[in-house]
Order: sequence, then C-alpha cells, then structure tokens
Amino acid sequence: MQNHATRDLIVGLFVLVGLATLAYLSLQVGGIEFGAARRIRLEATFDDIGGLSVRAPVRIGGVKIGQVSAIGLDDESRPKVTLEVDDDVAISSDSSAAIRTAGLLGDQFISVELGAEDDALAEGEAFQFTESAFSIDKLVGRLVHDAGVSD
Amino acid sequence: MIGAIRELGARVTAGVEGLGRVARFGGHLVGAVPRPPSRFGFFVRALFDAGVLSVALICLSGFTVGMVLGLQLHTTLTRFGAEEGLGAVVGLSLVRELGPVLTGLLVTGRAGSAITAEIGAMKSTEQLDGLRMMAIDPLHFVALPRALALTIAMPLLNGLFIVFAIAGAYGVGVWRQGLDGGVYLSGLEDAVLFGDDVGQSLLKSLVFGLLLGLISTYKGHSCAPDAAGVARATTSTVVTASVCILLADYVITALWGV
Amino acid sequence: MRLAFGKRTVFDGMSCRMAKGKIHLLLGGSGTGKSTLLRMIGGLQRPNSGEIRVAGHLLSEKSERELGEIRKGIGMLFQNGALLDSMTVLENVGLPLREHLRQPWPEIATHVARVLKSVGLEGVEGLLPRHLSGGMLRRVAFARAIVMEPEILLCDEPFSGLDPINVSRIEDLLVELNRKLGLTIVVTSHHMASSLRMAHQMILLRRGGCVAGTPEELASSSDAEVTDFLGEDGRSYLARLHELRSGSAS
Repeated sequence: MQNHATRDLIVGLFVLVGLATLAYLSLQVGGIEFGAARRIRLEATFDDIGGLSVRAPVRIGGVKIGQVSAIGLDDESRPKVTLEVDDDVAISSDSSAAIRTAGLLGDQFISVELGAEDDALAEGEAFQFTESAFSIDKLVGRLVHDAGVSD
Repeated sequence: MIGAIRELGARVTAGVEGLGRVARFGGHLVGAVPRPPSRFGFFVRALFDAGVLSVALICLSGFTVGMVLGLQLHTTLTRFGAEEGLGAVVGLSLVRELGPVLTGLLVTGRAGSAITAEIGAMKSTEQLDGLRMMAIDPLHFVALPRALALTIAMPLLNGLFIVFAIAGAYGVGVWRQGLDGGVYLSGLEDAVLFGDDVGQSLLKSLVFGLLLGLISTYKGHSCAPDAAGVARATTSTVVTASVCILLADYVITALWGV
Repeated sequence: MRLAFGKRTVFDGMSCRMAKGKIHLLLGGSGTGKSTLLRMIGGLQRPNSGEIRVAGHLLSEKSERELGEIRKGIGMLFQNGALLDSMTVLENVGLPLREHLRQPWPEIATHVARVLKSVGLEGVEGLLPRHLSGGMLRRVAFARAIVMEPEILLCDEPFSGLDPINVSRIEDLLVELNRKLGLTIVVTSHHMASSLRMAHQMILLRRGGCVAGTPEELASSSDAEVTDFLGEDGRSYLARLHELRSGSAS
C-alpha cells in the first residue's frame, strides 16, 4: 500500500474519538477507580432485609457513600449484609444501619445514622444497631388479620 | 415419512459440515494473524471502510434511539412517580444491551454485508485466484485485515452509539420533558458500574465484532462465483450474523449474570 | 512436464506432456476444459484422480503453502485480467515485488514502469483498473504475470476481445519472451491465425482425451475431429506456414 496520509489521519481520529467515548463511559459513567481500593467492608445483621438486593446504595442523610456488596446468612441463620463504603467517611462505632425504601414503592437502600462515639468502624467490623426493613406486606397482612379477629 | 427423516438427517449433516468449515476457516484466520508480512496498510483501509464510514450511521441511530428512550421511558416512569430514574434506566439499558446489540446489527448491515459482497465479487472475477497465483494467501491478504478491522471497530462504534444515545435521552428528558439535568446524569452515573455494565458492554461488542468479521469474510470466500452467488452470500451474512449476535448476546448476558 | 488426468467429467483418462521452453497451444471447443486444464497446471484446481507434475513437482501432493513456492515460478494471465480493483496499476503490477522481494516503492515504480513499457503502456500507474479499456487491462494483467520473471507462463485466452494491433503486440511479446528467456508458455486461444503462427506444439482437447502434435502434424492429420476443428482456413493457413518455414530453412 502506498501513502494515504489523509485517510490514515481520519482513521486515527476515528480510533481516538472511539477510545474517548469508551474512556468517558468507563471513568465518568462507570466510575472506575484506579490505584488501591479506597473502600472498606462493613457488616450488618438484620432480622428481615425485605427486598434489599446486592448493589443497593448505602447513604448517609441521602448522600451515597457505598453499596451493598453481598447478602447472606450468618452462623445463626440471620440475614447478614456486607457493605462497601468509602473509607474517607468516618462511621462512628455506635452508628446504626437501617433498611429504608425510597418513596412508597421505590428501591430499598441502607441508611446509616451516625452515632456519637469518636472511634470509627474499621474494615470487617459490624454495626451494633440495625433496623430491619419496613415491610408493607406484613403491615397489610396484620391489618387484614386484625380486621378479621375484631369482626 | 422415511424421506422426511432422511431429509432431516441430510440437513443436520450439512449444518454440522458447515460449522466445521467455518471453524476451520476461523482457525486459518487466527493462524494467519502473526504471519508476516504485516498488512497494517490494508488493516487501516479496512478500518476506514468498516469503522469511519459507519460513524455517521451509528451516531445518528444512537441519538435517535436515545431520544425515543427518553420520551417513552419518561412517560412511563412519570406514571409511577419515578421520573428521576430516567438516567438509571436509560444508562443501564443502553450500556448493557441496546448499545452493543444495535451497533452489532447496524454494522452488520452497513459493513458486514459490504465485506461479503466485495470478497464475493473478488472471487467471481478471479481476483482471489490471481492472488493465489502470485503466491499470496487471499486469507491473509483480503480476509484477515477486514475481520480484524471489524473486531476493533465494533467496540469503538459501540462507545459512540452509547454516548450519542445518552445525549439524545438527555435532550428529550431535560429540554422537552423538564427533568433536571443533574438528576439525570447522577442517576446514570450511580446506576452504571464499570465492572458489571461497561465491562459487559465491551465484551459483547468485541465478541460481536469477532463473529461478524468471521462470518462476513467466510461467506465472501465461500460464495458461488457469480452474481447470484454474491447476492445469496450477502443476504446470508446479514441473516447469519444477526442471529449469531442475538444468540451470543443472550449467552453472554446469562453467563455474566444480571 | 507431464499431465495425467484420471476420471473426471471434463477429462477422462487423458495424458499429455508439455516440453520446457516451448510455446504450447491448447485448443478445443468451449466446455472441453481448456481453462480448467490451465488452472490445474497452476494448482488452483485439483483433479479428482490422476496426477499433474510441473517441473518435477507432483501438484496433488502439495499443500497450499508449498504450491505458493511453486507458483512463484509461474505467471498466469487470467481471461478477464483478475486485477485487484481497489488498487492502482502500480500497486497491482508491483504487488508480487512488494510481497516476495520486499522492494521499496520507488524501486518498484521504476521496475513496473519498465515492464509496462514492454507491453506498450506508459503513464497509467496511478489509474485504477476500472479506468482502463479492455485492451489496456489485458496488457496490465500481462505485465503483472511477467513482472516476477517466471519460468512458466499460463495465458487464458490472451487474444479474445482485442483489436488486431493489440493481438499482434501481445503475440510478439510472447514469442520474444520465449525466444530470449526460454519461457515455457501455455496458451489457450480461439484466435487461430496468431496462435498457430507462434505455437511449437498444439494440443487439441476433446471429449475423453486429447491429440497433440506440431502445427504441421495436426494440419496433415487425417483425424476427422481435428480437421473439423481447424476448419478450411486453419488448414490452408498451416499449409502456407509450413511452406514458409521450409522455404526459409532451405
């Protein structure tokens, strides 16, 4: 092949623009992070996690600080949730984790209410206080049951 | 009855034979990658034909698909009072499925068919035999640069498609339907993750590019050397590649986990 | 060089030899497999059974890569040129030089210009095949077939569709190549006059086999099929040619 300077330039531009879009998707939209992991893992045990799922956000006062990375059962067969949160957020050791719902029917997320202690939770530690999911099914079920009894 | 069973058997045998031939062709193609001389000039030309010439189509289609998504999803989400979720829904559906699949189908129609037609025409005018008589392997000279170009171009075009679609949905959602631009973008960025979503998108588009590259060059090389044969091979490329892309999409999605 | 074909629909049990350094003319009605035979000598097609030897190599036993090595010594002129239509004349003719000798383009350009000039073309290097007339196309293809200076040249219908000037130009070239470089040339042709003038040996293909011989032998043949094929014109032409040759010899 002989010289085709203009065409080569256009092809080069195409590759650059294509790579730029992929970079935008990976870095800005996808939120890829380079370097050492800047997240710590915390655990929380609940009585009932309702419809909480993996990848659900973890928030403090509505601000996202991490997400649910795993859901399982602990040794006593109670629901155990593993959270990944940014390590630059200090979560005091007496904080509580609650499962809340965005709006009436929205997705469930974990809301962290900060405590007053000075020392923060470290990698692998668990929340002492948790609040289970507020289940609309159970509420409705109880209402119907109560109504049936009172009749 | 026995005739029908025999017919079925013949079809199955033919299908398996065809698969074997494609696999052997693919093996030769992969084997030809490291073989000198380098075909970089031809690769650049093929990248121009397959990639650059598809850019306008991909950008326009992406933008249009984005606008439609913005309109449809915003209307539907408003009924549930969840219009803030537009960014998340648009982003996830585009990055995971619509981007790679639609790009794959569009490039199949735009570039894959052209590659089959070109190679088929070269075969029917004895250009491939001419190359063989010059002791030049047509697989290495003609098919390889084109198959590689499709494999490289597909993820790049996929990226373009998704970015233009995100912009299209932004245009409709924010300017026409009055959604807050920040809410749309933060919803998008919160929902889409690199590992789960962008990675899957990249893998899919790479696999689709590879499939299309293999199918379009194979169909060109194996077509009957006349006008009708080229026409059949071109149609066959579009049909086979489209079906393969959709099947591969399901397989990757299922294996990756939703 | 020996050719033998086993059972095939086109050839059935035919066998012939083509001597080195001669011009061989393949004749036969359409459908008798002239082009197929040429393609088989080039290794592009394999016989269903039987064997083809080119310069001692048994083609049917060779892999495509080994065939490539043999083909470097063979030039082939296809009926419609078979030029790569996305590449310029220079790139087309220079391609084998680039691929096998790894020459730089400026060197290739001078080499190609020289070969093109020998086929009567100048200043067409930058054109694409679709910009060329049929005669120019044929001559460019001819230039590509001889650019690597092969030992064997296979020409499929080199004269069909050409005007008389181009016919005699290509004919002269073939004779010259054969005389100067000792090229073995195999030509298929319908163009009786020029083909007969230059051929050392003629091979008439027909159903089930072939008849081979010098032009003089075939002209005096009493075989009905041979006389039919040559026709009145061919035979009288050959007779005249024979007189001319014996006249110049004495």
